[in-house]
Amino acid sequence: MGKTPRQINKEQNTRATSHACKCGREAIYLRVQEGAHYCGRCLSGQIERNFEKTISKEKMIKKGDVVAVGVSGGKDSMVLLYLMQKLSKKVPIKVVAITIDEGIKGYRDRSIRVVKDFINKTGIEHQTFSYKDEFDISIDDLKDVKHCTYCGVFRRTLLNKAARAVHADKLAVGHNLDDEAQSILMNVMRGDIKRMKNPAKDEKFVERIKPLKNILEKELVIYVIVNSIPYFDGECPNSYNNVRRDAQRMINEFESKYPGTKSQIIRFKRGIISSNQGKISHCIKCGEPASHEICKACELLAGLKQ
Amino acid sequence: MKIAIDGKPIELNDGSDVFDVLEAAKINSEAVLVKRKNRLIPHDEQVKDGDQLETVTVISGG
Repeated sequence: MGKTPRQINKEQNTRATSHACKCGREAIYLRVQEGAHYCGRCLSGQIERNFEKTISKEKMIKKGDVVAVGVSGGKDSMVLLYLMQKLSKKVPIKVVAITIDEGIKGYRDRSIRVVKDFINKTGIEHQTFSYKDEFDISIDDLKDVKHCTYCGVFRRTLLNKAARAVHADKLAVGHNLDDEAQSILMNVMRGDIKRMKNPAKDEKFVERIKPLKNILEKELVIYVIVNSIPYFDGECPNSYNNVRRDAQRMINEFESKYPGTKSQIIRFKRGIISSNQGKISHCIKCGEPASHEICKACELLAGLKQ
Repeated sequence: MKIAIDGKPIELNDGSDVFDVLEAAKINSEAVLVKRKNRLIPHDEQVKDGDQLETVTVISGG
């Protein structure tokens, strides 16, 4: 474990009335695990290099690819769309934005407006897919159930179908380093070893890529502020009591006491999955990729319609 | 010295920094960024008597 911010402060006497970035400009951010200060411009440059390095190192995208970008209007997906569009000016790829409308009034309708305003200014191709059209149910219709359980499963299924519908070679999602660390911890807590494996490959699965997975969530917030990228910062009204929130709080507590915890969790997973490839079959009801005879979406829908 | 974070008054020793403010306000330093006069400042930057700080929540979405 690394040193606490307070220990670093005491040892290096980093407390000061102002700090300078290594470029000489006034710093706006302390990356605690390095003890390094950054101005907005240098941090932005580093985030952009991190994004491109993750893509090239893992060969996520190749020339000519159609890349579907899942965009909700939140900061992560807006940064992803912004960076992917920038990349498309350097590398010959086609970017198509896809948005999933879960049917959460006062939340998703507002975030979709942010996406549409941005899209209108950039000219990126954009399509919206709704739970109502696909599953004949909206999240607002669900009563007395854990919304996140249904929403997560339906979103995963519909994003994949949407990516196929726009003929995408890759499906890019805005998962950041914090999201990755939370997912790993949640899988450990659930004893879910299957999800710790490399994702299975299947012709019906559009390959999912996560170009922001090595970037801290708070650095993405700085990126949207510094680069004036519009985003919707509302919180889903149904997320007040989900496991991810608890994992997030727990990891943030550890990270603030032991900087570098999030990166160590990621390193732990990479170490144990390197040669573990998952297996996949197809749902006997809808034909979508599934790890069991019936996929989770069909199982949940059957339960709701009983 | 007295400062305020998100409008909440806090009393601190001279030489305190943003980490101290967040600790006193019981806010996790990982969960927020902090602005002074609408400009982000590093967590180890000292605060001054009368400072009005604002937090920017890092966590958002579902």
